[in-house]
Amino acid sequence: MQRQSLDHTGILNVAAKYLARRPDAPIAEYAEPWRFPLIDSYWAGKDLASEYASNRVTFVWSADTATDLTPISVVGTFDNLWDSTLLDAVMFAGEPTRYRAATIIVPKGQVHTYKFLRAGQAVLDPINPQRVTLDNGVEWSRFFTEQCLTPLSFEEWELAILVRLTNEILPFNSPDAQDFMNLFYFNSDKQARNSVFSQAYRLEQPIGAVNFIDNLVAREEHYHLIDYKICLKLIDGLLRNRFPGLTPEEVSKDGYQDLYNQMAAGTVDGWDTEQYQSPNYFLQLLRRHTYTGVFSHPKYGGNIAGAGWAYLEQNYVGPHGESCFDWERSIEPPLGASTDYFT
Amino acid sequence: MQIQYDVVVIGSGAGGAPIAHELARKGRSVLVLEKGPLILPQGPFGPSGFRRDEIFSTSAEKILRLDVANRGAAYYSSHVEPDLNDEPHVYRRSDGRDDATIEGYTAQVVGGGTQLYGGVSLRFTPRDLRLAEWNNRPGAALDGDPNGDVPKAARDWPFPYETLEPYYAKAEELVGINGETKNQLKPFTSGDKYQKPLAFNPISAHIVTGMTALGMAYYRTPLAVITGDHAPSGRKGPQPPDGAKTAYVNRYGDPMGFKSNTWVSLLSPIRDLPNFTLLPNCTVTHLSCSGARVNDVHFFGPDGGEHSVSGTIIVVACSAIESVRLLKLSAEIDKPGFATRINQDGNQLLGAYFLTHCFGGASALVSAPERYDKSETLDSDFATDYCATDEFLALEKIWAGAVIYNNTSDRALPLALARNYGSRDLDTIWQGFNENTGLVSDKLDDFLDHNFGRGLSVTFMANQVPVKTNRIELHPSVKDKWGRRVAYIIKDYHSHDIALMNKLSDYCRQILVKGGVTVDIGSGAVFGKDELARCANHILGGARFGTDRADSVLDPDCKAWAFDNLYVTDGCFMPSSGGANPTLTIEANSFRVADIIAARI
Repeated sequence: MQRQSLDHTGILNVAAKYLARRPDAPIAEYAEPWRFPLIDSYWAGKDLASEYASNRVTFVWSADTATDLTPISVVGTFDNLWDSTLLDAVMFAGEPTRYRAATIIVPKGQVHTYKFLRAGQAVLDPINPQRVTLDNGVEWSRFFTEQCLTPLSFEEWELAILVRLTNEILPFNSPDAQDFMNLFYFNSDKQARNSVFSQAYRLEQPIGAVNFIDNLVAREEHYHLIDYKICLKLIDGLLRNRFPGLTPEEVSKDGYQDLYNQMAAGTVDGWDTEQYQSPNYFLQLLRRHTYTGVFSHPKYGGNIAGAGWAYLEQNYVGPHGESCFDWERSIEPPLGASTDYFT
Repeated sequence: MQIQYDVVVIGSGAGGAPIAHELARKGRSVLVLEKGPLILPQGPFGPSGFRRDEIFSTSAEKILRLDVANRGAAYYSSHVEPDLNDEPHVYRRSDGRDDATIEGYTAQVVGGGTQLYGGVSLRFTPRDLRLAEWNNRPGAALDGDPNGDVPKAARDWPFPYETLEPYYAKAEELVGINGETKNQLKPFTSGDKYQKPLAFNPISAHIVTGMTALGMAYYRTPLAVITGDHAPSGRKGPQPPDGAKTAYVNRYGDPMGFKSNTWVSLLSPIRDLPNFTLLPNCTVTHLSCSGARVNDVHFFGPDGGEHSVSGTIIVVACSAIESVRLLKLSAEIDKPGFATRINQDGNQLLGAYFLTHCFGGASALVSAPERYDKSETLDSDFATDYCATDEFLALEKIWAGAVIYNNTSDRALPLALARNYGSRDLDTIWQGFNENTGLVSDKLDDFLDHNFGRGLSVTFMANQVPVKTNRIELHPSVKDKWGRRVAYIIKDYHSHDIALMNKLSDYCRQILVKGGVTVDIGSGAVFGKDELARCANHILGGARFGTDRADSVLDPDCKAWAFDNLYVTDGCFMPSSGGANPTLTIEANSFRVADIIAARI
């Protein structure tokens, strides 16, 4: 695969902060290892639209010493599996450091598995915690690029419950808000609809709050995946007990609202506190995640096409109906309309 | 790698960059070592490493894993602050237990705090540099100072405002500040170097109304944001000019370079000089000396490789907490030599008289149906020196004055609106929102309707009473990822601070009330969750300068008394914190020290 030239300072910016440490330091593990491989914007200044549709992905390997010349390469589903990409030394003040890196271009919205080859021997990425076991039982390292819409962390039944739970949290329940949400995707520019907007329809919940959560617990907040796994299972069982004959997807809005209120109050009939002590804690987590999902930059998997921002702009206007959140002004094209800021 | 330089500067922010800039332009060989990363603004070679992205800037949740009292706590930091598990600041809580905190880090990046600040760039008043003289005048009386501590604690700076004035002008010109001099209390003897301010956000009309009703002469807040082409740094101004107003300003690096951080203003313009070297991602571990000469600066490279360099002159400017920490760690390694000289004559002043600011203010919402687009803002529109005159100090029986200014970009963006709801400081981000589980669905809609585009706040920034026991030490047990003891912050407020903060926050409240902004109004001093951590990110003192070596760590040139060649030029040097944000004063003083060093070598 064609490699991009290394941004040595850019890689050291991250490696020095998160990787470099004394082996016997109080915290010997890397800080924020989920950042690896590095996923960043791609902008070569030639064709904004096509470059915006891709990410720069930088694989980083930390050798034992700066002089360890063992060849390191990476192989993965972003390329032919028989082609490996060699990592080069990352340089500092004219000398090689212990870090080796390679940067490639991968389209946004993709999930890939990969391994390193160390002197021809396949190894999992020692830094990136994302691992996936394929159907053949073999474990691979995994990364995903921005605006990923493929479920990574949850199964269909878990996603279905999450959609209902997050819908209870979001402020989109009024008839006006629902109209807005429905029309937002229909009224979009045709060309945009064929790209980002059409992606939204792959999601059961176009605004993407659940998709954001799925991405977040695959990467930045992976330690919270267990909260979701346990609590969704408890909620699934609890709803089936309360509403015999209905799947959780079929339970009414009132059913979810009652559940929500009980979780907020901290006492939920049928909740096994031995398995998970505080339903209120899970609710707090879910609220933060949901709110963040709909109002954060779409690269994180939510707020698809800026729908959350557009909702704020449409709904909370000035006394003469004027916009009070011209978000597009400051945000990069093609998502926004900034004429000088690109990323 | 070259190992011998004329000047080695440790820290690339407000304290270090002016020195590097001046001396490199005068042809000296200069090395700047910076612990943090080098993040560039957008340019022909690619996008910036700074983003208009609320999560990029204030992270996803992280969990504290250190052996401190708040182990297990969630924290959220900027991508240019250290990971707290790797290098925390620890502070002593009021109950005596030790918490890790993100407070006290101005930023760890080339440009330091100037990358993250809102850009408020005020001069100190002449009175700010003469507080001992004022507070020991016949008839002086203060509220909240029953033991008469304040007149004894107050210190005059070793030179008057007039000495610093031309350097303020130099900083304003070279850094790139927009504002207006009219109605400022400070003399602008060297002239007006400001660029023209941009149109203020219409919400700030309430501030004008309020200040006018109270007889407060106001001025456009000086901000380190260029509004037009800036010749000294070669930066092109924003096109259209209002494009600089994005609300992604306070606690955001600016991808366009309009916010005048020391990289775009002072270091980038000299980056191609053959005699200038910047090494980011390098952690200076300690200095070593032989006799009165600091000869070696030891540092880790980006992958932990050990290096050392030497300089004829060494300048430490890591932001006060980290500078004090570096000096104390150097002392720990060399007790007979370095330690003796930095604690010269045993005065034990290194780390002592640590200062932040007294600050607080008032906050409220404009009344429906008014609503404004707060995404089209910079950090502040209007300021007043009403509370800084001698007459005001005498009337209110406070020892020193304060600037008051409004904030416009706060709570403008949707995540900021929620995560700062009910939060007291950087350690309690998201907490208020998380706990308010009733804020969902139509109640969340109500919350947004009520708050979005309506928030207006007014802040004061006041001198904090210097107290010897407010100090930075090395923590007895907590170490960073390199095994080095971390900084330990021990501080509290004096009773006069409390009295002063209550008075000034009332004035802030009155500005809002008279300005017709009263919905959900609240006012008061800003305390952190435990009252003791909050720093306003103004990190000062701990190595104060003075004319009396028994009473200071540095001489009036900011040189450590018992060393020939060691200067400390971040906010450490201040014996009083000033009634305004400190960055411009740190920069001005550094330009002053640059001239002193240039005359020596």
